[in-house]
Formats: sequence, C-alpha cells, structure tokens
Amino acid sequence: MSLIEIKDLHVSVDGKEILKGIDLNMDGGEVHAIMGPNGTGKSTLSYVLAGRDGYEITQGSVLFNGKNLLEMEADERARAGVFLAFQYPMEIPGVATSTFLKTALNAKRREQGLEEIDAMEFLNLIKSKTKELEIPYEMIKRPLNVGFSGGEKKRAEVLQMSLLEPRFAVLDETDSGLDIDALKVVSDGVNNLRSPDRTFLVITHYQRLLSYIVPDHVHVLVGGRIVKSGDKTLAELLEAEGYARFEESEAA
Amino acid sequence: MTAVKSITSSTFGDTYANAVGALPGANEPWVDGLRQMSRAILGGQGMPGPKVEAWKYTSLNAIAKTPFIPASTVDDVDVMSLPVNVPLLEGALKVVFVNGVYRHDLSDQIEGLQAGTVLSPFADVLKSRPDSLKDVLGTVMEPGQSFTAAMNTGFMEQGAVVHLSKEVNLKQPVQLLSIGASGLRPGAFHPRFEINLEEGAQATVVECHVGLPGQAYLSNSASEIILGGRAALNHYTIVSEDSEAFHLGRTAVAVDHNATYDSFVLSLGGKLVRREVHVRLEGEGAAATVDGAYGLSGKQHSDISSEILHLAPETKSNQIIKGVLGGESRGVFQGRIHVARAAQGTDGRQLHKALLLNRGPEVDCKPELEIYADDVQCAHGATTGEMDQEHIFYLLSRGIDEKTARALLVEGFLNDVIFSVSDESARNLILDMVKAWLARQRILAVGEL
Repeated sequence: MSLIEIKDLHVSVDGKEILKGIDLNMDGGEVHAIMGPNGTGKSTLSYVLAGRDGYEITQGSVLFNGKNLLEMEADERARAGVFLAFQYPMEIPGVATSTFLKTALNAKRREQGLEEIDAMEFLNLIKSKTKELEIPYEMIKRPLNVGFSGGEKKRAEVLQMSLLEPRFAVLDETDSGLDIDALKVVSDGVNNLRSPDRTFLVITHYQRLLSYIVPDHVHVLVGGRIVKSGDKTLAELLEAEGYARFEESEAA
Repeated sequence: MTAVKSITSSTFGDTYANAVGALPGANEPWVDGLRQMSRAILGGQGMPGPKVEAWKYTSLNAIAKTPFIPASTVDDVDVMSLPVNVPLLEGALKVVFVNGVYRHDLSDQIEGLQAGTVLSPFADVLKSRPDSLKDVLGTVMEPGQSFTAAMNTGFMEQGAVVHLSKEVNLKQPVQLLSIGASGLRPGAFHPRFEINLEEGAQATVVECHVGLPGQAYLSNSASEIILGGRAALNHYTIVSEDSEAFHLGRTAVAVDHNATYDSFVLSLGGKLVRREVHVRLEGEGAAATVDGAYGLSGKQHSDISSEILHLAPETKSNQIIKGVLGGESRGVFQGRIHVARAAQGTDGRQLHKALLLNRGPEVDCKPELEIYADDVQCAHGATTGEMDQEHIFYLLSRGIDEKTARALLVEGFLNDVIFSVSDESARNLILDMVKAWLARQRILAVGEL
C-alpha cells in the first residue's frame, strides 16, 4: 500500500469538470513532480488534497495512509500530516508569525498527545530553523506574511513545513516569484526535509525548480489528466520541447 | 434642531438643577457664566434627535427616559477599594474617581511631582486657583459645538488638571480612572479633564472609563487638551463601562506648531457609548494620530464621531478605526476631515474597517472630506465585511481548528491597529483588554488568556 493513493479522481468547480480522472500512487520517501501548462488543474489538485472548500468531487478517491482523505476536514488533514505550501501565502494582519507558528505546532502536538511546547524550547527551535533557512529572526515577530517579499513568503512556508514535519507535503508553484538565490535557499530547505517517511508532491510549471529538488517521478498534467509519467529526464524533455505535443494529443 | 426633551427639566430633574449653586467655582463669575451658558444651550435645544445630523445614527431616547440623579449623591453604593478587574497601567500615577468624585484614598500620591508638573483634582483648582484655567476652560471644548460638551460643561464638578511647563517631560504616565457605580437610582457624572502641555512638554495620559455591574449610570466625560509648540502627548482612552451604562465622552484638542497628538480609543463596554474627538491642527507642522478599535456584542451601540481640522500648513493626520461586531450590535463611525484654505501641504488619512461576526449587526459609516486648500493629500476608505474564507483556510491548512482560527483572525483584525500604539505599556494593556473581551464573548477560550 502506498502512502497516498489517488484513484480516478474527478473534480468540478461551479459545475465545470477540472480534473478528469487522476490516478497517482506515491510511496514514502518519494518526490513526485507534476508539470503542466497553466489552467490545467495543477492548483485544483493541490487544493483538493489540502481540503479547501468549493471543489466538488464527483468521482474517485484519495487514500492517505489507508484513510479516506476526502472525508477529513482541512485542519484534520494537516494534523494527520498533510501540508500545502501555498503558491500565494496569505497575508494575515495583526497575527504575529510567532503566535501563528506556535498555535499550529501546538495543535499538532495535542493531536499526538504531547504537552504544549515550552516557551524557551519554542524559541530555540525557531532560532535554529530560521538560521537554517536564512530567515531574519525579526521576521517572526512581524504579522504573518504582511510586507514579506515573494522570497520571504516562500521561505516562511518552508519554515512552517519544517516545524510541522508533515508526512506528505504538496508544494504548489513554490518557485514562482523567486530569484535564483531564493530558489536555492528554498530548495535546500526542502531537500533537508527529504526523508524515507516523507513524501513530496512538487507542482510546477517550469523545469527550473526540478534541477534543485530532483524528483523520482515526473507526471505531465494536461487538460485535467496525467498524460505521461516518467523519471526526471521527462522534465528535461519538457523543458526542451514544451507542452505543445501533449496538448495536441489531448485535443485529438 | 429637534428637541427630544429639555434636559434640565426632565432628565436630571430638580435635584440636579438645585445642586448648581454648590458646584466648585460657582462664585467665580466666568466659571458660573460658562456653566450657565452651557445649560442654556441644553435647555434651549434639549436632547438632539435623529434629525440633528451629528446624531442621525445614535439615539439618546434611552438616556432621555432615565431619571438620573447626580452620581455624587448616590449613597447606597460604597467602593472601598479598586475593583479587581479594573485595567491598571503599569507604573502609572493613578487618579481615581468613583461616580465622578475624586478619591484621594484610592489614588496615588499626586503632590510634589517633578518640577513644572501640576497634577491636581479639577475641583481643587477651580476653588483655589481658578485663574489658572481662565484662558483654557471652554476654549477648545466649546459648549456650543456639541451636546456632549454642553452637558459636561453645564454640570462639570470634578476631574483632573494636568499641566506641564515648558520642556517638561513627565516620565511617569498618568492614569485617569473613572469608575461608575449606581445604586438603586441611576446616577450621572461629568468628569472634566484639563490637559495642558506647554511648549516642548511631553506626557502620556491614559483615561479609563469602567463601571461596576448594576443599575444604569451615565458617564459624560470631557477632555480638553491644549498642546503648545513641539509638545507631544500620548493620549489613550479606554471605555469598558458596565453593560447597563451609558457613556457620552468628548475629547477636544488644539495642537500647535510641530506638536503631536498621538491617540487611541478602545471601546468595549457599555450599552451605549459615544466617543467624540475633535482635533484642531492649528500650528504649522502639527500632527495627530486618532486611531481606535471597538468590539461590540448583544445589543450594544458604539459611536465614534471624529472631526479633524487642518487649519495650518504641513499638518498631518492619520486615523484607522477597526471594529468587530457580533450579536445585534450597532456600530457608528462618523469621520470628518476639514482642510482649511491655509492648510497647504496637508496630509490626511482615514480608514474605517468593520468585521461582522454574523448577520445581526449593523454598521453606519459616514466619512466626510471638506477640502479648501489645493495642495493636499487626503485619502479615506471604509470597508464592512465578514471574515475572509481564504484566511480561515490558510490557518486550517496548518492544523489549527476552525474556532481557534477564527479567534486568531478576530484578535488579529483588532491587533493590527493596536500594534501601532506607541507607548508599550499602554499597548500591552489594550491588547490584554481585547483578549479578555474575546474570552468573554467566548471567541477565545479562557485558557488562551
């Protein structure tokens, strides 16, 4: 049994079918990449996995660690170990980043039957994590994502991921809006989190990210379906040739 | 103007009218004249009704129907010590009033402060050295400008005077603490605060208006503030009256050249609360911050009515007011920014944002810009809405349950403006009070306090 089993997943938004039958199995420790042109359902897939409202699942199933993921609320999924790194992380005025991080961490600890984290321990944990990700420590005192640059927001997402230690992380266009230095820091952050009991689904438009976070499997999503799967060389092929020939075959 | 009722004849009854001659400063003709003039305004106009523009959204009917007596004559309630849940500012000099009466026993020692500093009970000053107030009293807090000001001036009895001489920096903040406590009969009190900072002087003053649970009372305070050139005042007003109480308060400020008036109003408790703020930026380079936050539940009514007058060149004003409304509460924000012809280079910004927790509350927002100068930057905006679903999802996606997520977002909504309170201990006090309010509304679990 794989950690994540997506079977014949059909999803509609406002009556329009976006995902038209996705099948995907991901095992522990693997990094899967989903590539595809804009408007093909990549973000829909990430939101459906994370449990956002507004998506109608008309057919199919998603099992996470043997459990029916689609029946769980978004917060339950997160506490069970699902994490979505947002393409556009929300700015939340008035909520200090540190308060948010502590609340999220404690929600998870409670679920695991652990005590709330001690203030000192939390501080040390944050200090080491921010250093690792080259995030200025002052940033965590600021309101969550407010006034953060594109790169800072993405680093903050990786910081959250690193704190919450998910079993299954979905990275939605994590490379968008990043310059090459930021991309490297963020990728290093992700690579440091790679482990045999953690699975990544990296969603991206460009191959660029995948030369830093090297995937085990690459899938091409076009028109709501996975039209081709392969290893990392598929990403290089796509970079060279573009999506055109897949789009043509989809149209045909 | 439409008169609901004549205030002297019915609202405060004969007891009130008869007490006039005994008020401090009554034998001083100019003080007596000011009171008489204010009462004439009240008597002539009565309580303003909905046809009076300034009172379109806030009805005084409930106050008009209540037979108030002067709260100083309330004798069936005794407050022997400070109630436990009264907000206290760390390290502040406390000046305490119960039902408008100065309480030496509950206040800190206010004599013999640093040189150039006067902190005295208002009644003492009116009795022993009224001349020190002659050029001040009623000059910025003009009775003719507002019903709230006229009522306070007509009946003012006790309060406090803060006077700093040139260049004096009063390091210790002053906390003016007014406690309402009615017995069997509802009392009304009219505390008067006179704050006068001479050139270059600096101070922090926190006003707290609170009450004990019980009968209705009316707290009608007025703060008259004069800031000389380069003076700087932090002025924070916290209203957390009892749920049966009425509060009609007004702050009127004159700001001279390069002086700064930095203020915040927090309005949480009371059946009906109206805070008026009137700021006159009179000298070149004068600046004011007039922020605020309010939280309402049940059938509470809160009104923040603000007038900011840019009367000189290069003056600046900034105003952000945020409100959270639940139950069937009603919030009112009236914000007028006036830029006189002479006030070239004015920078005026105003924003009101209301967050509705359900479908019950109502918000009335009336921004007004009157600009007579041509070189100005003015912006105003207002939004009223429910909680952003995208924000909630972001928090849920990190494993935070929905109740906690909503609590964080409501608190964050208010904290966003509270974070800009410049004095740290005042900021912490306000943050704590908001937390306690959220807990009382069961928005925040008590354990998270």
